[in-house]
Amino acid sequence: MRKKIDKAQINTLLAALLKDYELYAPAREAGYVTFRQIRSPEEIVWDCLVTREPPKDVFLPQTEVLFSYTRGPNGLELVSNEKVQRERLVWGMRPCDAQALLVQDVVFDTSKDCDVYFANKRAMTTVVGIGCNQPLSTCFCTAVGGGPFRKDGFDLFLTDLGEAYLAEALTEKGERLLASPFFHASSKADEKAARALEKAALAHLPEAMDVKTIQQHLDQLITSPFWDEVQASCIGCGVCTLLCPVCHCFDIVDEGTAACGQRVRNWDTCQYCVYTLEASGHNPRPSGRERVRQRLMHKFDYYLVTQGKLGCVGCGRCVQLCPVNLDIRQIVNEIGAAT
Amino acid sequence: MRQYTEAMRKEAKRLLAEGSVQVVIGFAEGTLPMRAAPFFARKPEDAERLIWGPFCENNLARYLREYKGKKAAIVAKGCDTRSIVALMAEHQLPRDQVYIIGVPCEGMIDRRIVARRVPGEVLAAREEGAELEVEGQDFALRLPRSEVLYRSCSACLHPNPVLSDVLLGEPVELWSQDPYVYVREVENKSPEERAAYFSAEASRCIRCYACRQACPMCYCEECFVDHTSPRWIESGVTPAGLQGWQIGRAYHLTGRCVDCGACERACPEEIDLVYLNGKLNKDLRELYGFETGVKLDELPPLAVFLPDEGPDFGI
Amino acid sequence: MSDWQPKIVVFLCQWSLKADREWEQRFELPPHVRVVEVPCSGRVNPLLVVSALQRGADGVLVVGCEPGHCHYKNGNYLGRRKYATLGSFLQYLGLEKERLQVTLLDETEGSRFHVVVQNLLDKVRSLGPADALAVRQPMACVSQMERE
Repeated sequence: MRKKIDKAQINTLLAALLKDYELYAPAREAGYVTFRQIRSPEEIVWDCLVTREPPKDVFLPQTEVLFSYTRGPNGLELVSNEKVQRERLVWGMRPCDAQALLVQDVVFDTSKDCDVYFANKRAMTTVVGIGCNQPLSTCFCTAVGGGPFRKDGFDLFLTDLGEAYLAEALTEKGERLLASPFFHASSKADEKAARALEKAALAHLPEAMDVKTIQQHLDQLITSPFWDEVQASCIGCGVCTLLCPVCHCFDIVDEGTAACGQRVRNWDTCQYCVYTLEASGHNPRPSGRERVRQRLMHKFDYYLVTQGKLGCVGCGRCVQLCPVNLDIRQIVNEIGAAT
Repeated sequence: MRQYTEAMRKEAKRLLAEGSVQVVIGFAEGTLPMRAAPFFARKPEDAERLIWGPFCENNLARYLREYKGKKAAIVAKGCDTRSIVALMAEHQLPRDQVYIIGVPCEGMIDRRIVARRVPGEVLAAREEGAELEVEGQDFALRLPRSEVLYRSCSACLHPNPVLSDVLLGEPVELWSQDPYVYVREVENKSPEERAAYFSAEASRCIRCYACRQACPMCYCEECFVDHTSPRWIESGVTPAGLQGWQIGRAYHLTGRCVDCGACERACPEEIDLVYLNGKLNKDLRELYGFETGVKLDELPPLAVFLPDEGPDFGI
Repeated sequence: MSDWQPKIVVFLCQWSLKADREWEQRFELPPHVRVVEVPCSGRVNPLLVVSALQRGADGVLVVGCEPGHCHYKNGNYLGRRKYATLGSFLQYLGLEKERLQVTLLDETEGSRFHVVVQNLLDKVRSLGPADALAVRQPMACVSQMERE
């Protein structure tokens, strides 16, 4: 079902939504724009294509208390933190970040196992997406099977038509939003305009990469000196993985005293030298060579084998933010061209 | 900015052809506007890829630890050479294992300031004299260079290499009046304002440790945040965890930081780090007359004492 | 009028009051003053001070030996620049400078130790609970100091 909402009405709609939902949207933070909780519609920044941090934190918080314990008069009391209290709404997510969520779904919510923390947040969150009229030069969603107007993963999808947004509901949650009186009927002309916008956006994006060839070459390059050069400038920080909308490794720690404490889950990253450090002192990924190779192989080879999806959605954050300008697009091109 | 590229390539080619070094650490063209990528020339023909420009913002001394036991040549601006001297003072680097290609620096351009001064994505940027020409899809602007330098560069007292095997140009004239102007601004605020500022800056931290990894002096094989026994600070991105990290790292750099700003440039959340490390550097300068990495045989300031020096404390 | 008592952590050099063996009996310390013995005041890791503050301490006192009296010759001297820079840094971050005190005592000065602690307690009491730096949350829920 498709409807339309005038931009002049958007803040009124959002103000109403803020009564029912915790709202997360692109908003200013110091000198940049990132996804965070907002308390008023005026905080939203509308023209940011790629937020500094992805909305990953909404579903998988960087630091999450799994449960807490207190030693009370009746012994040990445990308080679980599995469920969030209020419904949430993520407003203004881009198709790349939604594709990343779909990869995480395959990991955290399978037929055999379900991460209750993640699954609860997914169930309690409505995701409103927006298409990308003007991709950045660092965007490459199309190279990895995505697209600037790809709608799967969203409950409601918006297209910026200039003075208004075309809104398409894709799920029941989306239909619920469309029932709001601020939406009115859209026309065939609107849909035609939306298609033209998609076409224009696609013209600025790269072609799909040859996934099969990349995967094959990766298997062949495991022992190659190719990796020695690729990893030479990597400084081993966690920026690429922590800001990646797909990456989701975590570490669990217990912190507290005999009196009280918590079991906490924190994001972790395979790029840290201690990530695979074992208690014996052995480290199967002892140097940058193994760790940089691991990131590329996980995203472009292992994920395909285990989840049937690529581990990269082409958002370009790692490209923009790597302190030493290690560019995953360049590395993948070199892998493709390797003989 | 001065053109050092030709001289740099020539020197690198010579060194690699002679076999007197195993690698020349420098910069090559980046894949994005306003970026240069650290580059490792290993064969004479690699030298052709070396470049010099206003976006060579990284402190390459960070890479010297990967070449222990090997002789490395390194392209080094003033601050980078100070890091090299500091590493030598801590016995991390024998003098004869590094060949310093000294570059008198005119200051690096802060790509984040540029991005905020223009109305869209920057697609190209190049220096034209004292200005930076910036182009995007629908705009072309010129910004004065002096307005878009990194703060640590604007305040820099050591743009010229303090130690080098070859200097690629004449020393530059100093432009900075006060190396700690941004520290003084914060010192002059009330305690509540200072606490609020620190708290706000630290709150954005995501503990990616890019600051630590980019720093030449953070070479500990196991950082204090990775200790589990004891667990010095909380492991998460809680306020205490973040502040503990910021305080701990800054303090561990007392007498070792050279104000190069590499940490701040690496930080994806654009946290103000030069004001933090700068305070400790300013105190050392004003209390004990110490500046990191300027004198080759100076002892670390926290390892020495003078019997009658102040300040006094206690009740 | 609240009955809030400031929590003080004292890093006490084990040699500093050695000659005055009865200081503990003469001056019983209240439960909100916790003493941590260290082999030398110069050994106090700045992270210990930060840790104490983050675990709820409202004030920290480091007690060392007078110049010339250090059991390890000059540990107390080596600590001086460390405390000066650490204190200045924490003050820069908004912590009131009175909350971190360092004092050097003669080994017979048990009574002066008591005065020093009392002065610090009074000062910190007038400043109120330390709130410039964040406190560890699990620690804040029930602190061992409050229980006993």
